[in-house]
Amino acid sequence: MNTSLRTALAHREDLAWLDAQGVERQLDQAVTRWPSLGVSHDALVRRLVDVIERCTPAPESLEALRPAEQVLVVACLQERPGAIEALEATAFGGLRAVARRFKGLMTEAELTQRVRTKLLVPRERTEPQLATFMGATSLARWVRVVAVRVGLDAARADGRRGARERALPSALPQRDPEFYWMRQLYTDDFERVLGACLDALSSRDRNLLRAQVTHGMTLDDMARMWGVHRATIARWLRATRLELVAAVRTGLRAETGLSESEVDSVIALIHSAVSEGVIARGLAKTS
Amino acid sequence: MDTSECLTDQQVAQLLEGGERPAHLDAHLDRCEACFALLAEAAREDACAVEDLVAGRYRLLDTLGQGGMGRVLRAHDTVLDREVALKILRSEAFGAEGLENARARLREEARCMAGISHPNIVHVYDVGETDGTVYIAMEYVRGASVQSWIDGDAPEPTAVVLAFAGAARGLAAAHAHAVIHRDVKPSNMLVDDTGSIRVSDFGLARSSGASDQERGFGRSGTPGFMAPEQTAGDALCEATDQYGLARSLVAVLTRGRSTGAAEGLDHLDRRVAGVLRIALAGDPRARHVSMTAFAEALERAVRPRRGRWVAAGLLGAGLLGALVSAPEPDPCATMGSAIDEHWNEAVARSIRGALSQHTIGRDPTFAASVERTLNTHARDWTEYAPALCRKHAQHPAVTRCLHEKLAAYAVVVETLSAPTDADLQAVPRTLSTWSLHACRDRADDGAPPLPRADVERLARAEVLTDLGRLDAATALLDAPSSIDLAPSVRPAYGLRLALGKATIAAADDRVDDARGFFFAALLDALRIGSVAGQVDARIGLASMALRSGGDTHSARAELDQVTALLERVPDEQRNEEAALAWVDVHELDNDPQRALDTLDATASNSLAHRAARPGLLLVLGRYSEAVVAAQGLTDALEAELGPRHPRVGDAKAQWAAALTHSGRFDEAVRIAREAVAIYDAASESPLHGSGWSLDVLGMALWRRGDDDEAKEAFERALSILPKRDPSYGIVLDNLGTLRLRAGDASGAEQAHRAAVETLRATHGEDHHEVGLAHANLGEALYQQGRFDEAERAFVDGHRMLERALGPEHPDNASLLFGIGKCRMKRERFDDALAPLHRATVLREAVPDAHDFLGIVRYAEAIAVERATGDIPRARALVRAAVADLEAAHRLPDDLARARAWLEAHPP
Repeated sequence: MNTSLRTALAHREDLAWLDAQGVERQLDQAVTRWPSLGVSHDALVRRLVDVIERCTPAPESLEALRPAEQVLVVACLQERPGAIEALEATAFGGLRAVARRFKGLMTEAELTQRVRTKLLVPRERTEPQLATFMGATSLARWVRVVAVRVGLDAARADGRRGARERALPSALPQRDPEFYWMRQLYTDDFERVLGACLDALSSRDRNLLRAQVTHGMTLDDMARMWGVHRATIARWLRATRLELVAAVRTGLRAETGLSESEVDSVIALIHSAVSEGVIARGLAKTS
Repeated sequence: MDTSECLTDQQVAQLLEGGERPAHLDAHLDRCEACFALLAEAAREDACAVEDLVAGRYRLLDTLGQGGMGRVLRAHDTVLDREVALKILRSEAFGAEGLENARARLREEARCMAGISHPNIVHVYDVGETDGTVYIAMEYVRGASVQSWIDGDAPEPTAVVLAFAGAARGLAAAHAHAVIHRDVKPSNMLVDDTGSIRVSDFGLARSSGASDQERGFGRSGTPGFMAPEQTAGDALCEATDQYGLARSLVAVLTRGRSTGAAEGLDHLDRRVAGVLRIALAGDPRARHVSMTAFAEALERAVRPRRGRWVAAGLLGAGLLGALVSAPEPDPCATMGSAIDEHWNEAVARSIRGALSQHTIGRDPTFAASVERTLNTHARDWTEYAPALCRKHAQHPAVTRCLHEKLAAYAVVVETLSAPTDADLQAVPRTLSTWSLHACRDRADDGAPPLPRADVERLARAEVLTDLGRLDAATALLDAPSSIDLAPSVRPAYGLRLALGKATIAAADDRVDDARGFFFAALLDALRIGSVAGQVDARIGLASMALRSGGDTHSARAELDQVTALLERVPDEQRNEEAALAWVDVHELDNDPQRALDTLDATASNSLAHRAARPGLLLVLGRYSEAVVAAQGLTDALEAELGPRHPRVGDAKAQWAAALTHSGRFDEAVRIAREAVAIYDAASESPLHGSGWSLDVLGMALWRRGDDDEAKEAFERALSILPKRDPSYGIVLDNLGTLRLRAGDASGAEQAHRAAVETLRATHGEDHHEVGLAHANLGEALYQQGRFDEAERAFVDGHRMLERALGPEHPDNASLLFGIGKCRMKRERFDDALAPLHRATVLREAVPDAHDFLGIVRYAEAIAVERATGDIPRARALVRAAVADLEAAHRLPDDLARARAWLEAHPP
């Protein structure tokens, strides 16, 4: 006789959907989705009890837990034959695209192996990450995010990604000619003023600039990230840039007050990478 | 969410599915780069991703444009070694029905374009489908679209009208094949280097005689350029394209200020306006009888008549205006024939005779290549120099650049009339950098013009420097200026002079002097606003920073500025120079992947660019690609320099090294022998490259199992290489490893100790090569059962490697593994745990390193088992090790051992 989910969760009076008819039938259907894996009804119930107890807020329906995908999770955690193959066939489809983004750092096979290890191998006495799948999204999408994190961790360990993404204050002048020339002319003041103006922006506006300037994201990608239409992103960005340029100009005027005629001598000073001794020697030799 | 709380994978997935955004999410992302990067990466649309190698042939370089149906990318055709524009349909962007329709359109576009061969139509090379991606490969036209003329970069009106007449002839060729373009507009017409228009994008093209609806494609075209019959959905004909072309011409001549068909015509020259008025007739039957007739009418309208204004009406409006035929003589007219003085049959004969006096010059491939290049350059000059001169008549920098190019050409020809051996080695490189494209890029440079005599003198000095004739170059630079220079011109002269002296100092290895001169040049460039000058000076400063102690920090600062400058004023040649400097920076920073990314991003096909690739691919472990790259480089060099040139030997040695790493030992041995033979024949005294190619030969022989011959090759390499040569210690180290395999652990120990000493002397105490030699020494000691000494060697090596390459470098793993296994032999399992775990983590970051990773994981598992008794953890590790060893397809014994362990320890 199978244990029912209602019985196992008798103390959870808040879960009214457990009393609806058909819950047990849905569980059986989920189990028969992968008959060859041999996951029992009871094992699935135990798994769902575990998931439900961890969920906050409490799930509103059985579907919200994706019982069929939880069967796969149980099979993998129990190391059942064919379980890993079934998991990969169901949820690893997006890894190819992720691997392309981290090309040069690892091959698709390498990424797959690392995701496999991360999902299935317990680390430092913690459970395998697959056990934390709560069903809030599809298993495939969740695995894709896991893969992206694996890629980012590898890039960070490799020290590459960090170097490529410059800080916003130094990346902005490379992209925006107006900032570029302001920095050429006012080096130290510019850095300080730009930093202050960036600090004064709202978190969202700073994030938008960062996404576009240092992460090179497209409007469509940003729209997905913020969950709004691309036109909204474009409008937000335009407003942010205008606000920033105006603030930097005002800040620079207040800080420096250099006249046009002084610009030439400022230009001559902007290069700081070469010591004054070298400058003097170089000039002496050309004169 | 709490502002300090990081996002879980589950939350990120939910956010991307449109789930509710937690409160304070932006505040958290603002301060947490890790969460920001995770969300940003996960949000990127992976559907956009296209394989880097389309159809196994086209390597994608960058995006040229993007539209509703797909993208146009610049790509390199790896089979025919040329650049192409690749139009790609994104199957993910359509539903099943829409996709079929879009595929049909793309195929029809290819079919339409492939049938037409005309200089004013972009050629189609190939069409196909691969992995659900439909693509067309077409000729890549370097340049902007006609839209850029509207945006403010148009040549003078006569040139515009004549260019449009050419486009009309191209469309006439399409009409002759019963193809109507249907979407003629400025953005579908590209302007090539010579200022000719190339009609492209036949995406809407169809056979004539049917309306859009009849053909089932829906009404399409671009509002503003659509003919009335197209808007009305009536049957289309050739005259439909005439209307679109005429509207485009009006848009260019009025800089986009006309909004209606007839508007703007009143401001144009009467004759041009008359021709356009007919083409813009509402009734297609009232337009010119054919596209050819339209082209001829346009040409007649601007045929020069003394003292007439073409766009007189527009002068008052301040929009544009030019005298078609000025009474003054055209200074560009005689430019084309100026090359004849330097290159003619008599000169060619004399050069042939001079070349035959030298070993390299006697090679028929080399001699033919030099003559062919001189011919091509001369032809380019005759064809393009007058056109460039006219097109950029208002930019003195372009004319000055042309004078420089002519002077440089003359120096090369003079040098070849009485060359030395060194000249012949340097000439191919000098010739390869000679290009008139560079002059086109100078149009926007702000430097004031110098007197022609000085320009030529400075250019000659540059070429002499390039050829290694530093004394002659210095003498030229030290000569006084031809005339007393005006104060306004002095900085421009100073800039060129400083750059010239800096280059000489750099070639002479006087790095500090070179830095001083480059800096002086930079100041002059800033003073006169010369972007090209700033770029040259900053690239020079970056190179000098790299040469004086590998100062990558300063080099980066300079090159960042160069990148910004080149974004503002694009310049292909300088872009490549900057990219090669970046490659050096990344290599010195021990980041070969970034070096390679940078190299690939330049998409250049020059020999300097190609020569840098195989080595980087090898370091990255991408051996099969390294084989292809090195083989391609060898072929290119052979075609350019002949099969006996030492640079061919160098390329072959790289090729052989790549083959060895790919496990193709027989081929590697053959190619390495050829490399050695080239060096042996090139000079009576052994060259340095000969030693290096012998090292490569030794490696190939060793891997093939011919240990005796390998030993001979290594020993010969050692007899050729001077002891202070950086390769000497590495060859010694290889010799040691060879001895270890032969079972001579004590001989190996001796060789590795010698290698350590030599590498210390040549590379410095803490160089990573010294660390790696310690790894081999440790192994030799381990094999002799001297575990404590071995552990010390591994520990020393690890310390050096960590200091040289940082703690995260994967090469640390082999030393940590060595430390771990020595401790296990001494049954110090607790002490072995940490290094073995660290080795596992480090190797996890290396692509395709399954074999080593499997072994390290297995060793870690055993240490876990013995030290902690945590069988589940050990089991998880062994399972991962088995997966690694299975993926490696090698080391069957290790795999069997790991599997046996699993069987002995069931869950």
